Amino acid sequence: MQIDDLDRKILQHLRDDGRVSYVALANKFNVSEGTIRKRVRKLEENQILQIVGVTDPFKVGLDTVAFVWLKVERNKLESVINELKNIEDIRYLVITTGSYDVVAMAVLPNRERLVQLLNKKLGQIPGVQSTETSIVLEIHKQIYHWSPFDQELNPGGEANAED
Amino acid sequence: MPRIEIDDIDRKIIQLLQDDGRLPFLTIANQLGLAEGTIRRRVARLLDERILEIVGVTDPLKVGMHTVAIVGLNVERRRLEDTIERLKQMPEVRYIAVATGMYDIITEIVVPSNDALLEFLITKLNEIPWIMNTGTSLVLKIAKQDFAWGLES
Repeated sequence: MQIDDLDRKILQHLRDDGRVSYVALANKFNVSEGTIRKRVRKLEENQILQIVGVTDPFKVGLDTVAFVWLKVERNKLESVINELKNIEDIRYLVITTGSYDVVAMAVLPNRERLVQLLNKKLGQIPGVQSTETSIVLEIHKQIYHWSPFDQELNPGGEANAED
Repeated sequence: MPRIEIDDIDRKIIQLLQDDGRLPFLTIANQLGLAEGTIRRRVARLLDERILEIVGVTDPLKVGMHTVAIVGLNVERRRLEDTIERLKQMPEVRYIAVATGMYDIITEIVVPSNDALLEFLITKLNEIPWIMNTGTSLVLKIAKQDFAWGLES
């Protein structure tokens, strides 16, 4: 799906306030509320956008956040990813270049669950060659506002049709 | 130990909003058998105290931020705080965690292009004198991005 300027403007407002009023957006951009609603639905359906409540795990009692770096047999990468995706405690999962093939972030209620994840779950997946674990002690920044809209990050003016 | 600053009602509200950030307060109120004003007040507190954020999250790779990297840093221990302060100011850095293990600090960098990443690594990071070593993993694909982390009862 290609996103256009109106989509970008909608995304930009929603990233700051996920509950911004669609009527307000409609008035601002001179379109109908239904248009905004339809655009948002389409962005959600295409998995470009999710409007969600995000918490700081440490503030809600989730004690243990860990990054797990995995080395995976090349020809099993896809099946390993599929297995990892289904593990609920893994919240963020990426395929990377570098010394490791996969990086997973897990958010768990306690250390015991981490041990279980490492030994019982990751240890059982065929194709996982080795893992390295970093336990997060403090989170200093956590933003989801990455966007092609910020001036200083703008790729080349294409997304620059702001006001 | 982390301070748990929420009660069971907050927890339920958060759970519902993790699933749908735009769920009407009235719907939440009806589901929990509480007044809409109560929900509104509690959500306002959760937002004020930054326990909860309600945001539109995009997949950066799908909206023109073509380069995402996980960069681990080793820094001089006694300059850890200074390094974090400097990193926090940089808009390219969207996640910073202090960690045990191979790296002292784990960051996530989101930029529009590989050129921008190179520029960031060799110019911006180099301006922080206490960084001794970095390891960059370029993200090829985001396979999962889920923020509804377990507030299981």
